[in-house]
Amino acid sequence: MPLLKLDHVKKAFGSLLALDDIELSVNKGEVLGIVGPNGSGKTTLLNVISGYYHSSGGEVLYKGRKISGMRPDQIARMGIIRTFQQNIVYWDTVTLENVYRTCYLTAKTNYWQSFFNTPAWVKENKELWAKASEIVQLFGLGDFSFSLAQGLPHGKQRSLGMAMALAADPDVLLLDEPLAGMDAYEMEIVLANIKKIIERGVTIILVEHNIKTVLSLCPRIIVLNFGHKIADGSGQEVLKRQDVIEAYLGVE
Amino acid sequence: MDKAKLKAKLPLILLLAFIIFTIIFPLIVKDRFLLSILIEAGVMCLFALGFAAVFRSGQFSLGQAAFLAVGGYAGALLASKAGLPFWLSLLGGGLSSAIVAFLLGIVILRMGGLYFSIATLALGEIAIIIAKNWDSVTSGMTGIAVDAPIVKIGELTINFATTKLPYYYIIVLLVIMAALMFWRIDRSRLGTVVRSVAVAPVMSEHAGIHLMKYRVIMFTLAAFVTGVAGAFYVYYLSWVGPPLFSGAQSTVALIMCVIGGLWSAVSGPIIGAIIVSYFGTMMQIHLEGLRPLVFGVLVIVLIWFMPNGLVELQYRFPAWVKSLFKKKGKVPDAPA
Repeated sequence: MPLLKLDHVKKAFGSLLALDDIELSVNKGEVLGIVGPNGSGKTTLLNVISGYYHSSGGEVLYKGRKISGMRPDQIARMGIIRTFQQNIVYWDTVTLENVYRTCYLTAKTNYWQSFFNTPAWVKENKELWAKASEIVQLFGLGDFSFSLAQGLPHGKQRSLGMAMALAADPDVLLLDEPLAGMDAYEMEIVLANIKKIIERGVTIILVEHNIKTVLSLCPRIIVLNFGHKIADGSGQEVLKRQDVIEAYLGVE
Repeated sequence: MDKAKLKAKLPLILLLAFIIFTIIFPLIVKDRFLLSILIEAGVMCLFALGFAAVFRSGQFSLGQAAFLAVGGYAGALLASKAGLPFWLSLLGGGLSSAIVAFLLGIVILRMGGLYFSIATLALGEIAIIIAKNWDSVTSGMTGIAVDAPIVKIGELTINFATTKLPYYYIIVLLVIMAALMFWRIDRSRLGTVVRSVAVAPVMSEHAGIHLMKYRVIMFTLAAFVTGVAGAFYVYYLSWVGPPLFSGAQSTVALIMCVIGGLWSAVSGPIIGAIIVSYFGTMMQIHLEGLRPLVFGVLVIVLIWFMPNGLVELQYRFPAWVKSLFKKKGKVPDAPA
């Protein structure tokens, strides 16, 4: 059984069909790349999976359970975590606490224990901070642990976004253009980070414009154009197809 | 004890000193007028704490006076019609306010942001209209009279009609309890989640936080505290009527929090409430009609110089004292 399955998923904004009849299944541990020109529905697809949009038709199944129609937080708690195209951070606090806050998802003690500061909470709280600190180190943000997240440079903020997603212990990670607006040096760091996440056995769906990156990371690629899935297969297969070249790479 | 430990415990020591001071104060300064100002300031503390609690969940409530009214009327009805004792009426006022806030909250908090503010603004006005026109329950503009409670503790009988002092101690106790509650919430897991919701709602939602749940929790808690304050206020004045809960009251809560400091959960609202109550009353006496003008200018000046409110003084004051003792000399050259 595939981990995540999209069954004839449609998404319409008024008369515009942003996603038309998308069929897709993703297996556990797979790294799937989604490419396509701007406006082809890549981000919409992530938004439908993560529950930010409700699909206009079809179903999204996760571990055999229907998740389309659920709230984003319910889907997140089931293990599907996403990052954003824009840099969204908790601007009121420092990098370390940003990661710590998403670690909360996995906390087992309840609010009352925390309110009365019981030993169980104190112990778990320490573990959460340790976990946050470990993830911050993993993503090379150690030097920025105690600087305000809002003040970090663009590349670091994007790394932080990924660190926060990983802190939630995802089964499936949806990465929305993690390399957008980066210079070559930052790109390398983020690529290394993504590889670290893959090593942890997390299933990844990567939306990205940089075709080289996608080819190097993803054994399987799908191509979207005007809301249709026009290709699905390994990188070499997909790039040979004439319709993909026309839609995405351009023709002479 | 070494210096670092002492420094860490300083806030606690200051807090205890403050609490002891508030307890001894009316026994030393026997000024009935000052006492009445302080009691009203206590009510306003609870009111401002409620506003701050909603604000911390990222929402801007402009109708907190409505919950003061619900608590006040519920308390008055429970006391005069049902004949409940003092403590139970206070609790009843708080609970009915919380229930109303919960039921309204699950509807209007869905809107969020600016629309929520507009809805609460309307709520404040609706509360007054209901209070004015629902004659069979609220007695319209005549209001409801509430007898001063007579509390018996063992042999001791305290008649609240003869002395205002018990009111003072009760409100101090209530403020301390509310402050402790909000302080613990702020420091605990719930507070962190609530801050996340306020700061980056979309991010939080995709990290598995149910936004509505936490907004409703904070709105309801705030209404509970405000409701208790309303019931207490009604007891203290021995009367409840529509003029007590005008829409302007809600703005007063906002001003108190801004003056005290919006970014602190507990100290800001309390400091703001005490200062605004005291100087507000003093200005009322000495300036009469000029009061709103002077008050407005002072608020603007304060925001200008201390945008984070008076709590900023805790950082600014020590720095200022230090600068006094520093030797005045040449400015050191910048390192090359």
